Amino acid sequence: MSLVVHLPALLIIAPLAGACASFVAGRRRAPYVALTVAAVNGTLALALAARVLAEGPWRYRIGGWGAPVGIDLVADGTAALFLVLSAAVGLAVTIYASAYFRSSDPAAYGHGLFWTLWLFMSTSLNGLFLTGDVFNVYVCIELVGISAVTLVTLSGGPDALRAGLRYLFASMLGAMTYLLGVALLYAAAGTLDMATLRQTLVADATAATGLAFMVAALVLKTALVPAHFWLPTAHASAPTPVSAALSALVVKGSYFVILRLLLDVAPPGYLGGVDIALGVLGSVAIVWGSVQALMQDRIKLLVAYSTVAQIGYLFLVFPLARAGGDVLALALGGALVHVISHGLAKAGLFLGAGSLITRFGHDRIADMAGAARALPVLALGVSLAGVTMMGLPPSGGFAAKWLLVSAALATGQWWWAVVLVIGGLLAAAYMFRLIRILLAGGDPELRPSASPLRTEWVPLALSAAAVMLVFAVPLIVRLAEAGTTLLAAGVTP
Amino acid sequence: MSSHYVYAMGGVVLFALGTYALLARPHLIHKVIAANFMGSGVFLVLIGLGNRTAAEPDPVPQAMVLTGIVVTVAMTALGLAIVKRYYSATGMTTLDAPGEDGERR
Repeated sequence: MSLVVHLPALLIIAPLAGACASFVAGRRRAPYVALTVAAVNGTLALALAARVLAEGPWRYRIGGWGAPVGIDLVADGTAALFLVLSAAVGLAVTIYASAYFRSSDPAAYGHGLFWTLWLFMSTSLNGLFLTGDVFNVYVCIELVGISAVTLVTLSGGPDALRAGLRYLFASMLGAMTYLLGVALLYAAAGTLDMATLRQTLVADATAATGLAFMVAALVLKTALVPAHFWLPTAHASAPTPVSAALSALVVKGSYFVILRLLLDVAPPGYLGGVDIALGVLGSVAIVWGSVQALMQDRIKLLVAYSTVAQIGYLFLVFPLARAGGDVLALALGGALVHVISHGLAKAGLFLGAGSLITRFGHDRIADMAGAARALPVLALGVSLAGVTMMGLPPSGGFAAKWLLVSAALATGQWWWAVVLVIGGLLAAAYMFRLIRILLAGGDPELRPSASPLRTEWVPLALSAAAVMLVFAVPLIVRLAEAGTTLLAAGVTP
Repeated sequence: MSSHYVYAMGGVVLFALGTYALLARPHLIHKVIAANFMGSGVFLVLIGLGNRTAAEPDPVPQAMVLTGIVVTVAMTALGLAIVKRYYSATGMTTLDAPGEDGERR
């Protein structure tokens, strides 16, 4: 009992302790530390979600200080969903990485530093999802950025270093812009606590400018078109487990903060037409990212551009949320289902693509014919991930689009529904291009190199989970509703 | 106009200069320095605006600046380390392949 009341703090302490332990444990024992932490993290995240579901949102005062002196953690339905996603993808990536790095040269994963950095990244992501303070967001986002950039450059190759530098500069630009926004917001509102901000924020040019800077910085971090320039190379040239974590989790971290700021902290329409602008940019991202994905010859770049496109859907929630009430619940539910289904499917797709590259010894899509016969489990995993990306029923992606389309039609904003349909068709185009080649005849003598079974079954499990997510939709919508009331209530433990 | 606004305005100017240099200068070391300019600008804004009303200085912006400095130092160190490795691996000091202005040192 006594430990349960400290769940939010434990979700940060456990991976942090694991990160330090993995550094001390050394290269051989670090994977076991990471696996233990991933299991503990998953248990804690599920326990937190269960408690939020049963007792509603939860405000945790670190050290008993409480705002404004202390920094409060906030666990509501939205946070619980992101934490569970992060724990699930984290566990899968950890299991996959334990096999992926075993066969490779120790230098390729920084002589075991992968594990420490990866656990630091989990720590900072958990912190980001739990924070209730706009300055704490800055610290967590920088910590995520530092570990993510280092993970991208881990192999030390020129392409990885170039991609890492581009990512680093985008990261610095975003972080500094965010902090400028915080400075202006604090000057106007006199508080950093999100719940207090929500109650006290009044129409004020300085506060609105600050909030706009913060949102712009987070848009850059989330890689919404036209600020996506750093994403494809960074996600494609990182080691495969890192690519999966970056695409499935890291971009969702900054998106989570945008949700908090625009739906929880700021009153509706506080930033004028910014919510509509985000919807328009999201639509452009869906089309532009999909067309780019269609033109890629290398499998990881295809998957990375698909992330650019799928991020677009997440921003359709903002113009729809304006209507408030039931439509807001529908739209937010749709966005959250999409966050989770894309997180699972994209992790599955990246890990599957990485296994295909390892097994074939190259990353050219055109030369991957015959994969379905030689590597049926991998081909099935990639195809199932495709089902959810396209939004075919029954899948998590389908449920997400269904909720978003319902919200669009309920407010009479049918044009967003058109964007959703076009996005599905374009996703079908680039995914079928890949799946068709995998299913093609190819060389019957094809004998891909051997690899542990985990590298085939983990992608399949993730993709299957993304498809099965359709059954969890009512639960997700219930958790989403536990999120929209959070900050107003100012709840206490 | 109180002196606090002078600091804040100076901070905004530094921030703008840093942003311009981070985006426009091709040299990687210039970019790292530019990001530090942006940071210093933000810190000036924080201190300048944080002090403008209260009779006694508000400790919160100072705490934010201290944290910000620590984070920026870490980011700068990481940036310089990666730039160094990139230079040893490619012999280049810019992100893009050597071309019209790529060789500028």
